[in-house]
Amino acid sequence: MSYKTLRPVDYILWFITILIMFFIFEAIGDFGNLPVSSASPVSLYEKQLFEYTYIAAGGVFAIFMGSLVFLAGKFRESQPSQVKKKTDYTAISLVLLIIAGGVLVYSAIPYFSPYLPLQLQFNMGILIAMAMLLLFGITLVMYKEYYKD
Amino acid sequence: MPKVSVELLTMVGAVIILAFLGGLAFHYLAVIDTGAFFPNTHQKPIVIKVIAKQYVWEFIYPNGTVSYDKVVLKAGQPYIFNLTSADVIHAMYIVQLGYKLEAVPGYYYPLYIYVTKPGVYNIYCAEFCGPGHYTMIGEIVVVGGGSSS
Repeated sequence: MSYKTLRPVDYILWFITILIMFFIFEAIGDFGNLPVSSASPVSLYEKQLFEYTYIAAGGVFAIFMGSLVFLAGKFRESQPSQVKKKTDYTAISLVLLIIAGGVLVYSAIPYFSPYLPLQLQFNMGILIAMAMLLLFGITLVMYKEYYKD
Repeated sequence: MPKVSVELLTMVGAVIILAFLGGLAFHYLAVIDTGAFFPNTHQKPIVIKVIAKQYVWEFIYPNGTVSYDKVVLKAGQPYIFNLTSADVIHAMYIVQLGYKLEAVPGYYYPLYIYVTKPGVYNIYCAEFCGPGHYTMIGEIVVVGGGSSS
């Protein structure tokens, strides 16, 4: 087991990872900008409150997820490179599934609206069905990882 | 100079953010619940009695006119909906304007309505009130000028 310590450059990378996570979170939620009408002072209050809460939640998410990603990468267990490993199908499948999940979320972004027209609701249904299939795929891969027989 | 730990900074920061969000939410709640957002003009709010019943919204204007599932208001004029129910518990939900209030039999609750933009806004029942709950849909028509009734 190797004992690694954090160098000054690591702290900078840690901070950058947190910043990236923050901007990903904010971009997904359009920086807390609710797509609702501002036709009354009440809806304006709610929009403003949601925006502040969303930005604050983005900060919390960024600190935890950024630290998790950075520290997991930094302190991962390393193996000697000369040992020939068997092909790790679980790792390959998981990466593919995560990429598919990312594509799915990106495709679903236009549908994140409370006023979805009827003609787009079928597409939304298809996307939800694909998301369920994806969840099933991830569950199966994880199951096979622990119960190989 | 005493050294401030990251843990302490995290806790103090979280408390400050939560206190700010909580304070703002309570302030807005008080403003919404008392109608303090009405503009300081000489316009007196017009009181409209609203009776929710399975599965219709009944609006009674000050002059005694009754309309069902549709109310016509004037933009820039304050109104108070005196909300009650004739049978079971309902909830008036005007999504685009950010309003939601329970209609409870035997009680009258004021809903302070002030709309600045003309348009048609949907009213839904947000409390399951029976098998026809989904049909309990009304609309607020906000006009730019002229009479409101």
